[in-house]
This record gives sequence, structure tokens and C-alpha cells, in this order.
Amino acid sequence: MAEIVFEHVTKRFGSVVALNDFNLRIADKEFVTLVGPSGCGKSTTLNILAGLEDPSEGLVYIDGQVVNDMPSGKRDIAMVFQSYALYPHMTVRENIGFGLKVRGMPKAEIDRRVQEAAQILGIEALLDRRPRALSGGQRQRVALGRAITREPKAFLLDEPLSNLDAKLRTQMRADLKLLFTRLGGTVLYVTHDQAEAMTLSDRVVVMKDGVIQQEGEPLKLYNDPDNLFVAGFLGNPAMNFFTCTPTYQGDRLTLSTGSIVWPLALPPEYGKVLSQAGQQVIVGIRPEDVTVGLPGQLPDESSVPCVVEVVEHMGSLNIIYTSVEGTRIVATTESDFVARSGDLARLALNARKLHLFDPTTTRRLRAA
Amino acid sequence: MGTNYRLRRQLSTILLYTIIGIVLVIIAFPVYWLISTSVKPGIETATFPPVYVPSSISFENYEAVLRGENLKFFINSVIISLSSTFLTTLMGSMAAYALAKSYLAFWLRRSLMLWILVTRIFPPITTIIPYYVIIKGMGLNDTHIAVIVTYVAYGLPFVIWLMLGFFQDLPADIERAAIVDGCSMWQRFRQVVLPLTLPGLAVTAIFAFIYAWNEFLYASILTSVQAKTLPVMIATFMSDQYLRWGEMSAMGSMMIIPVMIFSAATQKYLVRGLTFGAVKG
Repeated sequence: MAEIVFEHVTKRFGSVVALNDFNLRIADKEFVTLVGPSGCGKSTTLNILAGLEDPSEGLVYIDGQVVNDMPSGKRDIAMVFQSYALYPHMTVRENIGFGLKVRGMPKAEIDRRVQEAAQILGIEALLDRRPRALSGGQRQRVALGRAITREPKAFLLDEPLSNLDAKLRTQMRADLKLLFTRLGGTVLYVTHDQAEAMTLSDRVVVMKDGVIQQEGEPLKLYNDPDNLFVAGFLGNPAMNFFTCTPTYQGDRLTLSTGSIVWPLALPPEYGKVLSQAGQQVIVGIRPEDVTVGLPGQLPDESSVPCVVEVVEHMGSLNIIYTSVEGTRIVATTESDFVARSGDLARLALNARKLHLFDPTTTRRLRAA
Repeated sequence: MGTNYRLRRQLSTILLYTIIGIVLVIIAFPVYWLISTSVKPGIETATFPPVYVPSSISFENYEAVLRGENLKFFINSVIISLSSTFLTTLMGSMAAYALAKSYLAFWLRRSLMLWILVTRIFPPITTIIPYYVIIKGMGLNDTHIAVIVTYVAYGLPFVIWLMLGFFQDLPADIERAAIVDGCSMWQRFRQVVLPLTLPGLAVTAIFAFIYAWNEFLYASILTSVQAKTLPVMIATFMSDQYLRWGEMSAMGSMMIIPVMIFSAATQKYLVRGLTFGAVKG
């Protein structure tokens, strides 16, 4: 297993910059996930590391060695593709063993490793089938088998779960976590699914337009996002955003939206930052930090009136879409909270969980 | 309503089968005419009105054409057709693969593709005399090589154009997986790409074979004795003094057998090949 380093890597396709001065160090045996919307450069990063694309600038290291000019096959990495990319004309056994055969490994050793991988993945019974006779989940396992049997320096996984149905995806997510914990390999995982990023990784790298937006442990990114994009990308349902004007009520620093003055007190340290940010700020708050109550359930002095627009019953919780004078705010509640569309309710924000963003730079405004 | 629907369905089935029957007759009649002429008594071959069912059957035409040097011409045809088919398919698919996988500027790719097609644009007859002079100058006149080289040159554009489509339809990830698995370009081509494009290869091979097997113009100019092929030999049954329909038909009937065997052997891939790429799946 190995350490992987990207040093000032830029990739251009004609005039399009897919990756812009990308720097990342992945420690030995670390599970790092690149997450971001389509076209953010995450797959390009993976392809560059795999040797399927050449960087326009910058250096890529595997185990301390620059690999820019090293052919893909010599880099000793294994890759799992979104489409699985199994060889349709080979059996599962041949698919899994192909990389070893190409490297000239003795047949007995190939058989042993294929058997071992099949056992780990629970696909021993499928070894003599061809890919077209397998279900999506089974193909996924074969693709993983092909990777792990190589015992490579690093595993690269390109949206490996995105072709599976929702239930299987959740199950495979857990299986993947278990598998790589057991194998203890260096993993670079690419996904656009923030849930996968949050649950699988030691560290998450959020990307947009070829630039790293923020990197860190999943919960750190979730609780302490650096900018509007990261805040909005992680979390489901997504963080609420609305524009506010900082307002002083006497000595108390608070926020107002239109005619609503939010009944909360920001820490006085925000005063200096907010005065620099200009007239308005974007407030972000996660749905779980918004409390919704029917009239009488929340004290009037700490809540504002709202109208319930939609109630989604998820089973374990409810997602409530409310409107506060035209501003939509989403909240999650216990599943036993009873409300219907059109109900009048009250809503309170947890002042300690507010995130403030500069509307121009979209950066987080932190208390000085 | 139900009866009406059933009746309509039966009628459309009958109509369908009738159309299929007519088409089959149109396709099969020349073959029937060829075979029946080859076994007809000589007097019935050119009468009017035509004799559709021979009054008696005899194989003397077959005996006649199987005598003498004719076997040699058959062997020539087999050697030339198989060699040129093999070379055309191999070289054409390699060229197509290179074209499909290389990063060329759009105009360059376009120009190359058009240029490849150039040999098919003008009628072969327009170049036949200078071509003959060149071949003779190289000392290759009346050799297998001369004919094979010619057929390969003429077959390549077709193979390249057809195979290019197959290679472009191949999912890119499969090849990328092979690259990561450590395959060299040749290993990738041989172990992953070729097996997956077998249907395409089968189609191109059949067309290349049929072309080489039936080609007359170049063979008639470039060969005289040693490398003479069957179509050229068949033409010798025709002269200003005689027209030997029976022997010509016997030879023609035998000539279609290898093509049928070749097609039957590759038929499994043929249907897949002809429809491959029509629907992504």
C-alpha cells in the first residue's frame, strides 16, 4: 500500500480546465472520497492517477515516485468503474484473474487468488458464469474482485455504486466499508453521492469546477463548512439558505428577512465581521437545527410564524417544508409530529448552529 | 369485434407470408435456374419458351468441368480468396482500431477517412491498364500475390469503414479496464477488443471473401494460366463461336458452395454483426 500525492496538478481539455492546481496528499491506508457535482473534475483526478489521462501540469506521486510518465499497467493500482467494465466474453473467473494473467503470474497462484477474492465477496458460485448472466449487484462484486485480487498499491473506485438500486446501494455501501477496513488499502473513491462520501471515508474532498472547495473528516465538513457550496452539497435534506440583513436591537445583534426579525442573538464577535460583509449575509441552517411546532408548542418570543407547505413522512422522521413570509425553510421533525399542508405553525432556529456566508465571495463568515 | 379482429389478423398473416413467398421466389429463382441448367440436357438450355423443369437429369456438365486443369483454378480461387480475406480483415481492423483510438483533429480524421475511400470512388476499369503495367513491371504478372495484393487494396476501405463503427461502439471503460489491468496495446487488441468485435469481423470477412471469390475484372487482366481464378475460367465457356451454358452453370453451381459454407459458418455472428450498433444495449 502506498501514499499518493497530487502536486499542483492541472488538466485542460482544449480551453476547458477540468482540474485547476489540484493538491492532495492521501496517506497510506487512508480512504479518501472525492465528491462533487458532474463535471467537477473528480473522475479526471482518478483517471490521471490511473494513468488513463496525462496531467497538463503538475506531478503525481505514488509511494514517493513520480508516475507522470509511468504506463497505467506499471503503476500497480486497481480501478473499479461505474459501468463495472467487465469483459463480456470472459467468465467471472477469467475476469477476476485477467490482470494477473497479463502480468504473467503462474496459473496456480492466479487460481488461489481468484478463489480467495471470490470467497471474500461471496461470489464463489458465480465463477463460471459470464457477466451477462449476473445481476447488477453481482457484477459489482466481480468488478471489486478484479480489483482486490491484484493486491495493488491503491484502489481507485469511480462511482462504483451509482448503477445499483437504492436498497442495494445502501447494502453495498456497508459491505464496501467492511471490505476496505478488512483489506486496509489506500482508497481513492469518487462519487457524487454525499451519503457515500460521508459514510465511507476517513476524509472527504469536496470539489467544484476543478477546484478543491474543502477537505477534511466527514463530520468536520458537515458541521463546519468553509463556503456556501460545501454547506449546500453535504446533507440531505440540504441546508436552508436565506438572505438576511444584520440588525441591532439595542445591543443585541440579530438578523432580519423582510419584515421578519429573527428572534435570536448572534454572538457579539460577529459584529465586526458582519459590518465588513456589507448590507446582507446568507444564512445557512440545517433542517435538523430548525424546530417546528404547532402554535402554543414553541414560545412566541423565540419563534416566528410560518405556514406548513408540504409534509413528507419518511418513516423515521418527517421533512416539513414551511414558508416564512415567502422564504422556504425546511425542517426535520420526529415522525409523530402531526401537521398538514396549510397549517399555521411556528418555527425556531438554533442560533448556535447558524452558518453565515458572504453573498459575494460565498465564503463562510466566522466570528472574529 | 373479436371475430373481426381475428379475421384481420389472419388476413395480415396470409398477406405477410405471401409477400415473403414472392421475395423468396425472386431471390431463389436465379439459383434454381443455375442449378437446373447445369443438370438439363443441352438442348433444353436455350429453348423458347424456357424449360423450367428439366425433362431428364444428367451430371455430364459436372464431369466435364471437373476434368483437366479446372481443379487448379478452383485451388487458385480458394488460395487467393482466403489469403486476401485474412489479410484484408487483419490489416483493415488494425487500421480501423488505430483510427478509432487515436486523438486526431476532426479535419484530419475526416480527410483520412475520405482518402481511404478514394480507391472505391472511381471505377476499377479506369486504372486497369496502368495497374497492369505496374504489376508486370514488378514481375508479378500471373501470380497469386498480384491478385491478393489487389484484392486487399480494394477490400481495405470497406473493412476499415465497417470496423471503425464497431470499435467506436465498444464501451470505452472495457478498454480502460484492460489498460489498468496492465495490457499492452497489442494485448488489449487481441484479448479484449477482437473477441468483442467478432460479429463485425465475421461480417467484414464474409464481404471480403465474396468480393475476392467473385471478382472478375482484375483477375482476368492480371492472370493468364498460373493464377487464373474460377470467374475467369467460367468466362472461357463463352466465345464468339460457342456458348456452353451447361458447363458454365455447373461451374457456377459449384462456385456458390464455398460462399454458402463460409456464410453458414459465420452466420451466428452475421445477424448480430449486421444489427450491432443499431441499438445501444
